Amino acid sequence: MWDVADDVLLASFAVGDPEAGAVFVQRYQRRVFGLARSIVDDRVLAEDLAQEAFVRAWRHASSYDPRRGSVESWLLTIARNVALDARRSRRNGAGGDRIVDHVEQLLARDGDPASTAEQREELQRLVLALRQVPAAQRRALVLAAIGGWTAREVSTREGIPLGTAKTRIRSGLLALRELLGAEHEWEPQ
Amino acid sequence: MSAGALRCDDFEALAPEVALGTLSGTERADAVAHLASCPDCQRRVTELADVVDTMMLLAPEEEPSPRLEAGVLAQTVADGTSSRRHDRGRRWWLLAGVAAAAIGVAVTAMLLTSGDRDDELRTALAVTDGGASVCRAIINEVDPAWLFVSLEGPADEASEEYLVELHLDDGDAVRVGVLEMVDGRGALAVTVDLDGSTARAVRLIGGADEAQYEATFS
Repeated sequence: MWDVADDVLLASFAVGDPEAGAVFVQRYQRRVFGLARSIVDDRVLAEDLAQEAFVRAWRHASSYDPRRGSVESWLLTIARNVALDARRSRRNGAGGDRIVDHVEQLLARDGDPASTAEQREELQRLVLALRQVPAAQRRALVLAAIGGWTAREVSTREGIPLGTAKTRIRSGLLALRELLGAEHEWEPQ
Repeated sequence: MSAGALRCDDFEALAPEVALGTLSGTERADAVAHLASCPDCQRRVTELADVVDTMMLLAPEEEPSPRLEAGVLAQTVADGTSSRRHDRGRRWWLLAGVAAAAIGVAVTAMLLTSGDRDDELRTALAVTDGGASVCRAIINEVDPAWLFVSLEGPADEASEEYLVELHLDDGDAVRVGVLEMVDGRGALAVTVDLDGSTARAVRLIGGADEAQYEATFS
C-alpha cells in the first residue's frame, strides 16, 4: 500500500477505504500540518485545520484534475485555503519569518527532502526557478503565496509602501510563471 | 476583450492577487465580475493559480500529534458511510478495476475486503529512539475486524520483516501476518477473525524472535 500511486490512493480513500485513508494521511500529514501551522502559527488550531483539509479532500476527491498538478499540490492548496479562512477570521499575520527562512534554506541547499521521484522533479524545477527571482520579490511572493499575506500585510512587515509590496508580489509571480513556462502566452485585449 | 466594469488591461494588474486569493473588498468584486465573462482572463488567472499551487510544495514539514490521523479517519470512515452508502457498491467495483490495472491484484483484494461499516476505530502508536521509528496500528471494533499496521523506521532497519501479533484483553496472542520493510517502511492490512474490541495491543516481533515494537490501543 505504501507504494500505491498518489491518484489511486486518493481514489481509494475517496470511496472510504480505511487502509488507503490511513496511508494517505500518513503520506501527507507532515506537510499539510506544516503548511497550516505556517499560516496560523498555532499548533492546536493547525491540527484542526489540517484535519478539515483532509476531510475536504476526501469529500471533493472527484474534483482533482491530474492535468493541473500533483495530488500533493492539490491537497496543499486545499489546506492553504482552509488555513487562510481561519487566519483571516483571526486577523493575525504570524509566521512570516518561519516561512521565509524555511524557503531560503531550501533554496540554499543541494538536494531536497521530497520522497518520490515525481515530487523531487516538481520541487527541483520550482527551486531552480525561484533562485532566479530577485530576493525582495521572492520574499514578498513567498509571504503572499504560502503564508497568504495580503499586500498590505507585506507592506507593513517589510516597511515598504503598499504600491511597492504589490509590485514585488506581482513581479515575483509573473517572473516565476515565466521561468516555469506557461502553456499559453497571454496579452490583454 | 472587455467584460463587466473592468477592461482586460485593468484586470491584468489585479490578476496576480486574484490568483493568490489575497484581493479583498471592491477590487475583488470587480475582478470576479470581469472573470465571469472573460475566458482570456480566466485562463490567465488559472495559469498563475497553478504556479501558486505548485509553490505549496515549499511548505515546511512538521510532525502532528496522532490525533490528526485518528480524527481524519473517524470523520471520513465513520461519517462517510452513512452519506455515501447509496453508491458505494458501484464505486467499489470501479475502484477495483482501476486498482487492478494500476497496482495489481493484491491491493485490489485488500481494498475489497475493507467492507462497508460504521464502526468505531481504535488507534495505537509506539514511538522509539526519539521518533526515529514510529509504529501505528488501527483496528475497528467488529467481528471479524480489519487491522492496519504500519512501521516507519531507519532505512537501515535491522529486520527486513516482522511477525505481527495481536494481543487480546484475555491475555491470548494471535499472529496475524508478516510486515515486510522496504526502504525503512512497511505496512500490513489484514482481516482478523475476532472481535476488534477485544484487542489490547499490537506487537512486532523481529529477527531475534523478540518484541521490538508494542503499540497499545487507546
